[in-house]
Amino acid sequence: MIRDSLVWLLTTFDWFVLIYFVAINTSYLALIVFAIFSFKDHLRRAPIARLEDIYANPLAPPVSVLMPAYNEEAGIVESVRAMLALRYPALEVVVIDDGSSDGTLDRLDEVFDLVAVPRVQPGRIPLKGDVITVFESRLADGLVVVQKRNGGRADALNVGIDFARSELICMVDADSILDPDALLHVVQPFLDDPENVVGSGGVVRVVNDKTVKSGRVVDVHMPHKWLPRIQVVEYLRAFLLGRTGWSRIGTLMIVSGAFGLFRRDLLFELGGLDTATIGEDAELVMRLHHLMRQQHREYKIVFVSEPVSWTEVPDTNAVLARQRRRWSRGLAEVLWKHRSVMLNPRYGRVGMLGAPYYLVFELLAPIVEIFGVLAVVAGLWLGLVNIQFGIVFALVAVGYAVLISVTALAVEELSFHRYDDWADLRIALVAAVLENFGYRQLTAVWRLQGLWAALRGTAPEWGVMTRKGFNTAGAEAQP
Amino acid sequence: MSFAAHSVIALYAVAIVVMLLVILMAVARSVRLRRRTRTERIAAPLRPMLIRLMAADEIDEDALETLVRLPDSEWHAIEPRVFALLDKVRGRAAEAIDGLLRSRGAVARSLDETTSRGAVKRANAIVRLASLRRREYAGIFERMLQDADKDVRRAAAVGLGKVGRPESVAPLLGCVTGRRTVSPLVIGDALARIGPGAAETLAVMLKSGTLLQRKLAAEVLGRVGATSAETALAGAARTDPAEKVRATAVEALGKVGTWDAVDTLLDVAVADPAVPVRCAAIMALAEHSGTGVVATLERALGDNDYDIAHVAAYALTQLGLAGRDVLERAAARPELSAAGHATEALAAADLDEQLGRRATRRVLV
Repeated sequence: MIRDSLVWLLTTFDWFVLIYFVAINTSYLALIVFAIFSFKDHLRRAPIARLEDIYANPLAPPVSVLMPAYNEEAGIVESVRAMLALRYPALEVVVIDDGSSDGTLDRLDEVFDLVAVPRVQPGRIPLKGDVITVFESRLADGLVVVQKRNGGRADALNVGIDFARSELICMVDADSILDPDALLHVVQPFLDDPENVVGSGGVVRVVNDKTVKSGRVVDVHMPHKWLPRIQVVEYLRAFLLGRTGWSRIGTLMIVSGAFGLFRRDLLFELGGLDTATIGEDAELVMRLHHLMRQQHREYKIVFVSEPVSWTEVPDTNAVLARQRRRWSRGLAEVLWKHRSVMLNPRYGRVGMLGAPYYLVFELLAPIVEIFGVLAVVAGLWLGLVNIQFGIVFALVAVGYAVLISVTALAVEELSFHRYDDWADLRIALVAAVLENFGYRQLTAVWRLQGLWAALRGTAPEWGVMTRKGFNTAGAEAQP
Repeated sequence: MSFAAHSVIALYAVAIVVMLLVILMAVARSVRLRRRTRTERIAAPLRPMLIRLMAADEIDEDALETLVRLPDSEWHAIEPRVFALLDKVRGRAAEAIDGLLRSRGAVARSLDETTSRGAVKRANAIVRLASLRRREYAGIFERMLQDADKDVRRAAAVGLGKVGRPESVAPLLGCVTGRRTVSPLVIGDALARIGPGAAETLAVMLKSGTLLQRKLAAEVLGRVGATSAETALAGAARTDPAEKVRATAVEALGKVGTWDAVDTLLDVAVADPAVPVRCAAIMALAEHSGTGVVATLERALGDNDYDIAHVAAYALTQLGLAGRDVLERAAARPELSAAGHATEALAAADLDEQLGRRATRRVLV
């Protein structure tokens, strides 16, 4: 009797896992197909895009680039150089030193010759950490550095929004490097449809082990270690293709904190970023959806696949674990805070498609994945699963996942082809396979831990991302 | 068929698709790299010739002749570069390149392609024709402003800007609103390229257009410095129902305005109900001196609104000794809210002077 119940339970669960597995991978495939349509459009039109016209246009809206920095002394100078070197007609760079205990501010002072200026704080957004001093650079026109007491990334960004002087606000990470034309690309939707576009985001790619000269990534190749290599494939699949797909169907719910552009007046209306949430970037986008829907205003939040923000990804398990726990917890908090959106037709596709997708296929995926593996092991142990069938099924599961990643690589190869070496292609293909043996399972465990932490409401784990800085061989010593 | 058999078939299917994708990637990469190498191989020896064509005071007839006689396969590799040269040259060099493109049939081909079914082809053709800057193509560009494809419309608008015919102002402004629109930034740039010749139509549009058209008209009138439109701008600054239009008209008035405009700016700086409009008027007043201006900015410096006080402080730094005197007096009274703004503006002005920077860059946008 007990055995029969167990058999029934395991069989039912196995079927559930099977359906879930097909559904999740097919949804990835669908997003990739949507992304392909976008890329096809984008690439056919690239030669006539005429970014030069924007660059030369004095009517282009000014942009303030905000860089919150906490203990970023290893890479802050190169990142700021990269921002100052961006091709854009009206640019201000605001670095917010969020109470760093290392030499972040000293490095900036050494290279950019900072001078304190008695700026009056506008106070349009409530802040946690007091502003200590505001600096301007004697060498780099348009560079502002705000030194404040530690209050977290969201609080630092709020300070930046408060001090920024442009109508468009670009949020980036202090360990990121933007491509020189990245701002021109990401601003384009605002220019094409100035009345309706309220936010846009660009692609985040992996910068580990690449050479950076004068603030530019000049030598694009795969990282040296397998952990970041796997993340290259993962970022391609999830960020480049996944978000382009969501954007194509007008359901973009996350604009990465590493590269997002928003209208300043709306950020004021929203009261800035939520300092109590870990996933402040996703939370901001959700509040933007709320605001616009509640006021019945037409709006668009779009993802642009061309501009690239290069960012350093974790290259040790410990740092990666902290990052994934944080992401999972952030997503859980955002979905819980905005639960009224879930399956609410008033929110259109965001409510009926996006939010349920993120709940079922992102937040709860590690639960199904881990319990699915446990169920198969239990089935084998109890003799309920035929070993040969188990192996074939596992191979199909891995094969389908590899297929999704290889499709993403193929789309990248046919569209942006940033990695030109044959060796890079071989490494990427191997990484697409290796990802399924250990990496996926480990990240599932870490994501589950993040979800558990969110459910228990324990103190958030911000973690420390140990920066190695950029490979600056041959870099000029100019600001 | 059993479930296990289905799984085996699925496994084979997945493996085959993965293999096909890998082969596709390898082929695509090979073709791309080979094509790139070929284009580079063809273009490399011709590049110095193109530079000579662009740089010489006298037309390099040998270079021109070589390019005219180039085999088609090689010409196609460099044709886009030759068209691109037209954006960099004027006068005789431009004429020579124009002649070269005609003799190679590139212009006729572009004209044909304006009616192509492919939108990208049409847009590309317009971009190429636009680089020739010939008035005879303005009619084609105006027609293409109504094209179903947004990139074709954009290319046509850019083309009309390059041609610079005042008659194109109305069709260009017509594309700001409606079903088939072009980015206002592109239209604004095209209108500004047309220059003062566009002022008359823009002034009319400032009164009768839609919100976006009125705003754009004001923006462009300011950019081209159309003094003839001062009355229309002053009217818009005082009475336009839209805050954005009033603010833009005020900014434009600051750029083109004579002394007559100061009265309007002073009134708006004090009386407009919208803070952004008042700020714009205060900034515009920074371009003018006089006791009335200084007194108004001094009052604005004491305003409770952060933006107004802040902008007034920076505007006062532009008004020479009289403005500085007001700021120093305010800075000396820390009990007043104006003191902070005055201190900041003075420090910024000193730093700007020390570094030889333009002070206006600091003013709140």
